[in-house]
Amino acid sequence: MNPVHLTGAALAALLSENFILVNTLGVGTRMEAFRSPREARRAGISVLLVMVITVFLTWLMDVLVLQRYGLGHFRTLSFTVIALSTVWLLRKFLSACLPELSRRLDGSLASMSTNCAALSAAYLASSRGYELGQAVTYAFFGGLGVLIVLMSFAGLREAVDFDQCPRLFRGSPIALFTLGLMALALVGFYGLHLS
Amino acid sequence: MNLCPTTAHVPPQLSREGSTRSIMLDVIVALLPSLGMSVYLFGPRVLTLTAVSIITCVLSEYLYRRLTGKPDTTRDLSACVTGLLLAMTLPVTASYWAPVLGGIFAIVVVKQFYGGLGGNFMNPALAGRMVLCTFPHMMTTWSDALHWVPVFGAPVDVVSTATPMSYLHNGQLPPLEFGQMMMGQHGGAIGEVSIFMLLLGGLYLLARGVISIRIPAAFVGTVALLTFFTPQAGSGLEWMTAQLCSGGLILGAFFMATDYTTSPVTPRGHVLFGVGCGVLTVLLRHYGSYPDGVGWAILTMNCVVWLLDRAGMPRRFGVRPMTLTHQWFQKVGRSLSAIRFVKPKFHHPIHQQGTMPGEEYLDQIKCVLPVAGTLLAVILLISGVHSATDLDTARQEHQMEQDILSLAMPDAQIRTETPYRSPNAISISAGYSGSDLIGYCVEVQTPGFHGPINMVVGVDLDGKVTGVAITDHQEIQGMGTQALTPAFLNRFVGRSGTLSLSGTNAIDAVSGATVTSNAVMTGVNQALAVVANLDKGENVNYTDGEV
Repeated sequence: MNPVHLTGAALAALLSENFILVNTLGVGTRMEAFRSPREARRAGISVLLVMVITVFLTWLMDVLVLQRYGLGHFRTLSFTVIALSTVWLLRKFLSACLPELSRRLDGSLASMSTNCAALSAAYLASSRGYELGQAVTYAFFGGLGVLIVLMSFAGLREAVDFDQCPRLFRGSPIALFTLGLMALALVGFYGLHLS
Repeated sequence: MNLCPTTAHVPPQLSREGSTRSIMLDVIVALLPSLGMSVYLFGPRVLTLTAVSIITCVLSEYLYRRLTGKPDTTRDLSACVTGLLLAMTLPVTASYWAPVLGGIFAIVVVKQFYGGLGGNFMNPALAGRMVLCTFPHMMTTWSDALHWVPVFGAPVDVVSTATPMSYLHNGQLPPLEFGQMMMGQHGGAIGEVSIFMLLLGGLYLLARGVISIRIPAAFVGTVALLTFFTPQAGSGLEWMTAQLCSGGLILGAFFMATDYTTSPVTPRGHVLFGVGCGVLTVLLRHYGSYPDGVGWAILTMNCVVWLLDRAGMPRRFGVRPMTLTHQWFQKVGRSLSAIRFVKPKFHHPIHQQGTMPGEEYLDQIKCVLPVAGTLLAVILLISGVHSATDLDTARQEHQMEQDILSLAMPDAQIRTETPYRSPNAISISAGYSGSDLIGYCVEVQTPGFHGPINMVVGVDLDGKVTGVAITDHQEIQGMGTQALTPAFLNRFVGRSGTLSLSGTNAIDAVSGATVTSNAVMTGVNQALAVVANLDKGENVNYTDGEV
């Protein structure tokens, strides 16, 4: 639980390896998340929740079972099963015990089952040999980075007129341009290191 | 009857016309002192570069508007200002195609695709500059002040110098007096060296009411505060002064961050924007790979301006300042308290009606069977493939081991684990040829330009390097990989002691890949230090019974 390690993992997940803008992972298939800030906030919170729980469980699985008994070749399968079960369990728990929260988050949580952010965070934490604290911090700030990017993109979409470009660029191309420009802003953070 | 004519004092805001053109003219006038000073410092090439940049920007805006059938907007001089600002961030040795590329990107993609003036979300001049940063060699050749660079032709006789920013990036104070830093007698980009002239321009803009003091004050104030309390060399005051006077901080804070379109609207948003830019700038300057983080910080904050606008809580007339914040907290509280915990009802399958006892379990199994069956099939498949290929995997790992050994310690045949553990090394292994101990292979990780570099360094028993093998890196072709070639790594063979880039016991870095060469050298130094301390016990722990 070295604070320098934790801060390094946090800054990496938030800025220099931002999941959406740098790693281009976890963009998600739910289109409403890119349209309104409220939906973007909910999608970001779902990503955050699922990522933290998944990385915690997969770290335990990796260290206590896979590495100990030499079952490294089951990593993909076990991580996938854990990620999907997390989403399923979370949805079941919310619909049974917290119906209002379920009403708000269910759509985003459903799209998390096809979102690679949780799985990739688990993989990265495993292949880099993070400790438990580092892995959970990485997942938390990775989710936070996704939340910030989604909310700023949705806010941008409300404030900026995306129809002023040439006709060929309207719709998805100009949205992708925008994401690309946002990613350009983060190029300066590549290689950020605290040591 | 009043015999003394009184002059009515008109506040500057009222005399401002408020049209875009006059604001842009004010910005151009404010930038002229700095431009003049850099002509004095760097020669007339400054003027030609600026002219190329302005002409490109105005022309591309005119052509774009004409070709897409929109009304012409070049008369509001915003393209002129973009061109001027873009030129001011370039080094004087930049080739002439650089402002052309940057200008076209800035005007067409960043500005016009979003509707022209007022529609863009990112500062066009900065975005153009950052695109040019992808040609790092051109962007990091700085000419020294008062050495004029020829106007035409490639600048061959350039006295390249370490700018104050590169000194600060390496953790040292630049060897300049305060007066030199203020007037700009050092290397750097065209528009950012002469702090005094830039401050004059900034004061002019403040007096004319074009910009408000909030963003520059918050930005510069945050940088000052953070650098005062975290100096890397010298006293807090010296470090702070050097940081404030180098790089594009003053230019960015007064001219780029205050752009109306890309900064928040509300006063509180202004302050948050400035503080955010300042924090990111200091973070990048202290811990990032690029020496100057001002441009990146401003661009990143430009992306979150929309969140700051919502957080800024615009004041309404007649409403007390904290009322809106209070209302927002209440709204969030109401929204969150609507979420209530409900006791879950567990479904008891035993009490279902209309089934024979024992049959409901069949229904449950029927639901689970496909998933369980698929899972079992996949597990069997993976185990099968694993046992069929684990020999090949082992052979491949062995081959990789041999490759690493042949690069790091060519005389050894096998590497064995040792119980030595050190915080500066990932692993320490011993290299054997037969039963003779040749030396130790230390695996270290150092920060490169785009990410960490993992390498295995072989050190023999005399403390000399036998070889360096790079096992993992994230450098980009042309931007660092030149320092990972065998030709460069062979320079380390036979060296001992503590290496440095200059002075005694020096290693020649690869030009254009200084950060990566430095990273490799730091790794080798770490490995040498670890092996030197193996028997002394400092930093290296021997954990008995582990191997």
